[in-house]
Amino acid sequence: MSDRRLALTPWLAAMTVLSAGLTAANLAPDLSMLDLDRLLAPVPQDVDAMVMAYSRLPRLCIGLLCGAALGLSGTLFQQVMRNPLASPSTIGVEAGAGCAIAAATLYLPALLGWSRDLVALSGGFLAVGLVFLIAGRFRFAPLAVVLGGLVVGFYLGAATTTLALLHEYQLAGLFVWGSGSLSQQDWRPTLDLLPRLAVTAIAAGLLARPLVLLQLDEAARGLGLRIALVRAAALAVAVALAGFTVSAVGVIGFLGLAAPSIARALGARRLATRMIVAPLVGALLLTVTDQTLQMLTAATGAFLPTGAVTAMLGAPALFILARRLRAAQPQHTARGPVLQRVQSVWLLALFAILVLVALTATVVGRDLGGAWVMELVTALQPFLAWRLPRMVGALAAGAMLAVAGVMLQRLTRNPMASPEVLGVSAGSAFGLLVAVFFLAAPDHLILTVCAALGAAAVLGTLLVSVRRVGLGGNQALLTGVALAAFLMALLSAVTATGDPRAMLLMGWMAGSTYRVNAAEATVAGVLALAMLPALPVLARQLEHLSLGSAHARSVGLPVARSGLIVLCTAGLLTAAATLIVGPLSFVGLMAPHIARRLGFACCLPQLAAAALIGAIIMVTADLLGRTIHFPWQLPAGLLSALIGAPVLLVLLLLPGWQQHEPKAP
Amino acid sequence: MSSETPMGLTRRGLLAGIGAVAWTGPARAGGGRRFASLDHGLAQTLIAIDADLSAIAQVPYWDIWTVEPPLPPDVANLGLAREPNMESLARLAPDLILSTPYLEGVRHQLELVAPVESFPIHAVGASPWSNILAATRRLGVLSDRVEAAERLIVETEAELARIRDALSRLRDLPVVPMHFVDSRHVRIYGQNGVIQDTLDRLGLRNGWPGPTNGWGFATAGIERLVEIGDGWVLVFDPVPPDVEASLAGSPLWQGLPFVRADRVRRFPNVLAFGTLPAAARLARLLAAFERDHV
Repeated sequence: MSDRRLALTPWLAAMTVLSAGLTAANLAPDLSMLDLDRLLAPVPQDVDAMVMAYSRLPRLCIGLLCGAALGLSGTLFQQVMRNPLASPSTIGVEAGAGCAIAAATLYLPALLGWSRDLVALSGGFLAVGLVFLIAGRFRFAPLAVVLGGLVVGFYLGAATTTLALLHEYQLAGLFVWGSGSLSQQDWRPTLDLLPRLAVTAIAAGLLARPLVLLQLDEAARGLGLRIALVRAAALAVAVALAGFTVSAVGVIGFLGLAAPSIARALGARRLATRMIVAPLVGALLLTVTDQTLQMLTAATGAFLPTGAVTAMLGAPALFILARRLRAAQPQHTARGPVLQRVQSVWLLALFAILVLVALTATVVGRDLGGAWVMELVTALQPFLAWRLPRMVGALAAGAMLAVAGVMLQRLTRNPMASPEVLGVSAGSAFGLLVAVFFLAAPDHLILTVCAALGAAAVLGTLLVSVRRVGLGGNQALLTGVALAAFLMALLSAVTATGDPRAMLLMGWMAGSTYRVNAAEATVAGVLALAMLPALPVLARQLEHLSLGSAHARSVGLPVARSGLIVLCTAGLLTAAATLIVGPLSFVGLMAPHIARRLGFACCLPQLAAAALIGAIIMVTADLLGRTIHFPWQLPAGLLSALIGAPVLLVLLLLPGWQQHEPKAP
Repeated sequence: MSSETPMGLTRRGLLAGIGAVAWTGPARAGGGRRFASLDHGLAQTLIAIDADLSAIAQVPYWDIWTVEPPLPPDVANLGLAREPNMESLARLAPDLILSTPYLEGVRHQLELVAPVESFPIHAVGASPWSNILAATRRLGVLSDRVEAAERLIVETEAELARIRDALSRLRDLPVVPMHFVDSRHVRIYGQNGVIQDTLDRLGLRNGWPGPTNGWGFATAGIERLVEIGDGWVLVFDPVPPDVEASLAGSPLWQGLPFVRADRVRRFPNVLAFGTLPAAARLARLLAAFERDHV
């Protein structure tokens, strides 16, 4: 377990030289004109000295601090969860802080005037509290924490975006904050941040040794180490590090994922080494980006938020480094108690609920005064033209995403796998982005075609890389996460400038079914129906694949080929569904889990149940989105996250369910 | 701040009367259509020329962002501009839906209810003034109120000219109209927007030397405000709650020339993507500003 120091040192040295060089290039011309007296005690009339002393120097310092904190936070998260995809974003810290600031901005502005930091931090800890509540039931098993963190994060993120969409004028500031601008006007944020980070970093250092012992699970137990306590403490420290950063400058999320991964890829294997190298990498990475951006801003006058741009740079780096990471360990095999008798009853019940919800979504509406009305037969006629397409579209999309989710989770044996992180939806988002910003007044058809092209391009890339490079399913997901993060960051950067066109993209990202027309609904419906007969065939292959490739080979399954077919099908279903409900519904993540919690353990029943559940969630979301906030509309994609997440949480928290959680091997 | 009646707005009773006539029957021959507007800028012109406006998007934002002219109470709310409520639109059955190129993505849905006419005014990367005049005239034709539209143009230009002549001390320094986005960032209005066009017509200089985007504003960190030097900084309402405390403790902000000279003032909001009534409102507010503060 010795570190490849030879590989490590030159890279770190190169990064240090680069960031020092850029800092010098940015600051030195102005700094050299100022003597020390002017800088240390600038008089207000001395504008150059004031800007240097109160904006540019604190900005350099806070960048270094935040980068280091996020690198350390990510390292702790990845260590505790034994998951290379874990990061402050995956645990819901950023989503929680963002949600708290959004809610306070709208409903308790006095709180923000009092302490913006405290609001953000309490939001972050609230999110983590929720995650711990779930995780505690599973004794902080890494998988449970990640899953709980994702669900809580999605939920709060969806809530924030919904608030932002409804009150976008008031929340322009939230977008700027979300984009992680490092702009500073005095030393207070830096001086506030420094002692907090120092204390948490020391705590992290004290935890290093117990965490190493934890790696050797059996040995740790033998040593009488209190596993749950150490994990909880490490997670708390990681959360605090990220929370302080987020409240000080906003979201620089991807750094917490990228820095530890880069440290590992540079050859830092031991935890103690990574806990030093990752913060270094984080600090250097952020400095390189920020100094470059400051020079760009000086040259062009454009507003370039550092956090978002860092994420855009970090994403391709991870894309490259993903290939050097060892394949993630198989995470679990989705086995649960087989309840065959109950299953058919459940399936029938789910189908009945779907029919009921679909009917309701067709006939119920609000009149001009806002009163609830039910239209039948002729009175219904004038409304069918847009109620039916969006209902059918939502139904089909929900079912397709759920099926894709089951496939991916079984193929990769990773409970975090979901169509949303496949990169396909990021591809369609990119297609839309190009259309919205580079074409004059694109209409619906052009937007749809561009989104479809984007999805197809990513799908093609994914398949080629899986075939040629031989990436496993989990690495394909990592690639997808990188792509998605890149595009979300790009969108965040654009939104922060206040360009109203970003709001158009935001509406689509939020999963609005508003634009779905009859033709799209028909295509989606036909595709969803066409996938049904293929399910039993796929289910058989998945059943073998989900038991591991050794098993699959032993029963004569061409593993690579079957995996490719499954991935391809999942990608296609995701692409079609994403065009309708956007990339943020998380139905593809939640529906398979809800199905499993309901006892659908075998593949085919799980596929069927998940499809029904996905469709129910999506149609309900569409109905509610159209009516509850009348005359405003809430996007079905976001609402489905808001509906599905509590259902899943309740199922997770319900006593008696945890024995279904697979035992750690 | 301003209690004057906006130019071109006649009594509300007349409007209600016209509305009642139009409500009962189909569109009158040769115009006089009932409109639904997805854009507040177009809506403020429609109200100013007494056209028949049945619904607009985002009614609750009117009093925060548009303010003038007052929104007639019988105008229905269509919800979000990017996704106007289709069922409400169908029940209202307007003769024409007014939109902007920005909302072209939902045209296919809107056209299920009524024809859509789109007005390119802002986001064209140039001064919107000629577009505003063209849109005002076109709205006059569509609503069969050609004279009212011409009168609105003439009266607005006359009022701008009158205020231009009346302003004196305010012209000694540049002005910088801005919004606080949060405690660290501002949005500054300049070239390509109706606010800049109004400043130009009043003979006022904009103190922001940097570029602005196609919509007529720039987003910047507060440290970049050193580029302004001295000038009147007009901070549009609303201001986020934590801004004042944050600025009070920032030596950089306190050291900015316009802060040391005590030339930062809160200013009532003016619709940044507005039309003639927004320009007239800004001009009147600036005249009042000179009277009270300069």
